[in-house]
Amino acid sequence: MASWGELPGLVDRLLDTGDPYAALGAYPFAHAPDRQALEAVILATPRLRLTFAAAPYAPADLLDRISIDADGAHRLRLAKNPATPPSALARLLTGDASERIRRYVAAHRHADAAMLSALAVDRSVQVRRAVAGNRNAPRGVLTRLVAEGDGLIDRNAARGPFAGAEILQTLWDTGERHVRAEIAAHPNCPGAVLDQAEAMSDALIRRKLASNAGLGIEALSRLLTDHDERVRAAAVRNPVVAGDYLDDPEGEPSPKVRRIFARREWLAAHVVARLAADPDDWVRRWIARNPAVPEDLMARLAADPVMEVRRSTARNPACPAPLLTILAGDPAAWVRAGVALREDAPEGAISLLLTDEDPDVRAALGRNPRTPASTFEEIARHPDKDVRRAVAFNRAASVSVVALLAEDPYPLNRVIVAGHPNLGRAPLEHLLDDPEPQVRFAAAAQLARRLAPPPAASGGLHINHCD
Amino acid sequence: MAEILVIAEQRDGAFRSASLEAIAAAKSVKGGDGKLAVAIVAADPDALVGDVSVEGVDEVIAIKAGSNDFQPDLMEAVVAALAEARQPALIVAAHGVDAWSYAPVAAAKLGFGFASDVQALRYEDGELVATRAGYAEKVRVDLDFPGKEVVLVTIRTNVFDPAGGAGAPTVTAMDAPACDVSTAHVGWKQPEDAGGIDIPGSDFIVSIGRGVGDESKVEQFLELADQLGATLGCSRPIADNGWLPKARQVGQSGQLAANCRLYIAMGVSGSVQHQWGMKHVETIVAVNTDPEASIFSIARYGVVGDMFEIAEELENHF
Amino acid sequence: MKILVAVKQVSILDDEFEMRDDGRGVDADFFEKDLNEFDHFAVEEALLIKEAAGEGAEVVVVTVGDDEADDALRTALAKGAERGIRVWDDSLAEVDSIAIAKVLAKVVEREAPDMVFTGAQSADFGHATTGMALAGLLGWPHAAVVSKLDFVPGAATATLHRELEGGLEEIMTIQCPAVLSIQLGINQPRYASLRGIRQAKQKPVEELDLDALGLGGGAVTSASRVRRMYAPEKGQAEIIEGTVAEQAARLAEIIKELRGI
Ligand SMILES: Cc1cc2nc3c(=O)[nH]c(=O)nc-3n(C[C@H](O)[C@H](O)[C@H](O)COP(=O)(O)OP(=O)(O)OC[C@H]3O[C@@H](n4cnc5c(N)ncnc54)[C@H](O)[C@@H]3O)c2cc1C
Repeated sequence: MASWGELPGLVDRLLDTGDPYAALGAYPFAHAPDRQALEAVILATPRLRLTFAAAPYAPADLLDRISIDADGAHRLRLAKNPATPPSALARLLTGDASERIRRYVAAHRHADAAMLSALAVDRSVQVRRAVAGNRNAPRGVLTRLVAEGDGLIDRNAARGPFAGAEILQTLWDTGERHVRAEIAAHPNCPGAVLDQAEAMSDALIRRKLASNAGLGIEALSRLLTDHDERVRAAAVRNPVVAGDYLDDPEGEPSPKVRRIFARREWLAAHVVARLAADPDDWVRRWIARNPAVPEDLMARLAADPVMEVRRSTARNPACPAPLLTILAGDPAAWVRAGVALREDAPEGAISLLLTDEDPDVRAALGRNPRTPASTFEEIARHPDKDVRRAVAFNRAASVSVVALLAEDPYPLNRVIVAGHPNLGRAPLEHLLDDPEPQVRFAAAAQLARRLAPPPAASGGLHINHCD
Repeated sequence: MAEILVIAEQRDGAFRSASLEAIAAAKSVKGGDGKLAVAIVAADPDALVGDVSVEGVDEVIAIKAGSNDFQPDLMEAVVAALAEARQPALIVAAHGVDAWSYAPVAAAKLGFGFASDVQALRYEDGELVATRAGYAEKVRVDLDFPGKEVVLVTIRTNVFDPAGGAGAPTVTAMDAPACDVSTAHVGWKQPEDAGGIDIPGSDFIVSIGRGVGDESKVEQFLELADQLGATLGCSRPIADNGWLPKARQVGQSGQLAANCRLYIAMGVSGSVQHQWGMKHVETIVAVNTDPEASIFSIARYGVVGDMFEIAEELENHF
Repeated sequence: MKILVAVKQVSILDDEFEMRDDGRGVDADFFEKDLNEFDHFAVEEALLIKEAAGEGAEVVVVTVGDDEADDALRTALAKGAERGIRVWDDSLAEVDSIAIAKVLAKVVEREAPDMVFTGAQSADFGHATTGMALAGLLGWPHAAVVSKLDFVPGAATATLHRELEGGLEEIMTIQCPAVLSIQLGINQPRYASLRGIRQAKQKPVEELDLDALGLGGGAVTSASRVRRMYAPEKGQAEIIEGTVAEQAARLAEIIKELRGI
């Protein structure tokens, strides 16, 4: 047997124990012959085959393997699984694929141009509609589909990234209101259509037009003074509108539109000042997050009576250090937690927060790499499992703190810590025997990743980090 | 056809309207020549006779008890006494928490046929068949009761329209049977009026998941919820990241949306753990870019689309 | 002092599944098994009482199920229950909750505990029947959906809250021993530590058949029978089609309609 310190050794061990979940974790990192052996373990029973055919975390090659001799229930699960690769999708279309399967493939993000061309002449209109809505649908396919005159096909095609000016012009000439609204917003919309759209009395069309990033600034500046607040809001939102055009929120009667102003980047100083004093809470909540706010105004917003405005200030990347220290003493825990999350929080703010008992603050500190090591350990022993988990997400957590979490009674915490770079070899191997399948999967994947020669293969369990 | 007996309920002297749904269920299998009797146990049962005197009820059995307290032992004795005296083929009660305490007890003790949380009743070739759900609502089960002369069923709420219309039943007065009781009422505890974020109490929740992408986008959904008059909820990763407070997390390790009538899930995949928090929701609307997201299998309405686009459009209507 | 907790290994179905050929059940390949969620709370409540009682107190978990149900017992043992009992006989494969209660009643008679807990219902079928039917067969005091419990072992009565509709709770006293069905949220169920999981492997699980309980020869009869099982019409969302503007407009309509705006 190969040594444990190498991938083949790990594979041997996984084959030995016959644990399908751990085997699945290592699968993407194994070489072809080992993969075959692992497949036998992973797909040992009908129940497992069904489970993994539907699993979005299953590696593409395994799904491809399942597709080779898939029966009805497997095929449907594969067609629905967003991870299913093109090769397997193509296989699902051979033979007499059911309408449901064809529809799922037509909408699948991995369906390629060839499959879509074939499905574009499918006998079921549901399938053809799905093709028209697929972002991969090529221009030729869209042209053919639009000729059908089906309302839902037209709606989908009018949004297609590959719909060119010609298709859009045809659809504009024949299409109804909602199709036209889509066209007015399309980056490939022909100029003549843009002009017609601007002159239309239907506010929906003007609103969609105002959101078109391909529109010229002259037209947009006219739309900025449209009598319909929704049209003005869409125009303010348009990234083309910038600089001097982003002016006069004061004369703007609609708080909805002013809220959009407050969310825009690159606002002029006088505009920021007006918005920071706006009577509408939401306008202030938005502007308080805006990095364009200067220090003096930031201080005012940090003292706003509305808690959420202060929280927004605490989350503003431009919030100056002294202000963060003040906010670290805010009466509202949610505001203090906002500071505790910041990697750029000044020493003084962090030390104020170290004794804070609020769970949101504790968890935020747990995620912050600036937190001192001794506090990490306290947090890793916190009675609340959610607070403890914060440390598992923290790349700065030390080997010993991470090892604590590998013994955590809460399974999800073990799943997450299995992927931590500072988890030692011994505790990681220990997790291969964990009672929770998810933990064994994550541990095997991490071990295999560490042992596999770079570049690391893709695939793996998607866990809760969205940073 | 033999008699059908409905056990109506009161709580602290107030009639429980779910009993009208039980009456409706009983009526759904009452033949033309059948008889439907409704029993109610209370300190002053006469005061409740009017509540159950709806169309289709032939007799009200007003049973006088020493108090309005719910005593499972007493209810079981009542069921036993009425079953003995009336020989009904079917006894029906609402599937409420009180019935949970006495109906299975009576059925087991007295050897009745029994089914709980029933959604439909009918006769097939003279055999009573009761339909209920199984495997967390994924299947329906038709049950029959071979060899059982008396069948007791409890009826799921919000399935049958409450029985209504004026009836003119005869009223029979009766004293509750004597029995030993092993429980004693002490008092009531009203639900807490929690201030601030209240996922369990909210009847309208807009919930966001990892589809929201990053923290700076969260704010606009707080604003949307505010405009819509909804409470903003979230899936676990959002709370785990500190983007929203834990109190907003819906799901197994978060809050149970216990009183929610409308739940709009945006960018939530619908993991079982999240679904746990949504199990009492009446109407679920899902917005997700992924048509295969499992949230669509539990939603009443679905939008396959981008949550930001939908949110932005939605604001135009409120 | 002894508390007996009856637990169930529930079956969880994925969205796509197939029925058995006889049309009276689901193809077993499609099941995943897990300890009933409500039972975690029942076990926890028993453990809390045991831990407060100190020396000599015991929590026994019992299940009626085939060998797959062992996992449910091990989960409870890993949390700290002392021993387990599993009753099985192939004739029990299709029986209902009342029949299960008949089996459990014999176990209770054998064990003579001071209290019996069950979950308020099972997550798969939601019968909410087994615990209370058990009380009926034993002739024991009983209360369903208990959301708070104050019980000192040895006391003649316990005080409890029953969680009623709309969040209202009734406070009542009950004579002991009693059968209580335990509601979610009554406590914070613990997760078994890895050490607990290792120790659970050494804890005794007694396996009994019906003869051992004096229930041989068809004594365990159900109060109902499955005539057929089928997938209900459409568990699938009604998809709102159209452009984003159309979809949002329809969504707004739905909101306004349901909110009575
Ligand atoms: C023991 C345990 C307890 C747990 N408890 C909970 C709990 O209480 N609550 C909870 O929520 N989770 C809980 N989880 C976590 C749960 O398993 C999932 O990880 C989590 O619910 C996923 O959250 P999500 O749906 O937001 O994220 P994902 O599963 O990542 O889903 C994101 C969804 O957003 C969609 N999407 C992406 N972009 C967009 C867009 N622009 N517009 C629209 N849709 C988009 C995607 O298609 C996807 O479906 C628990 C897990 C465990 C193991």
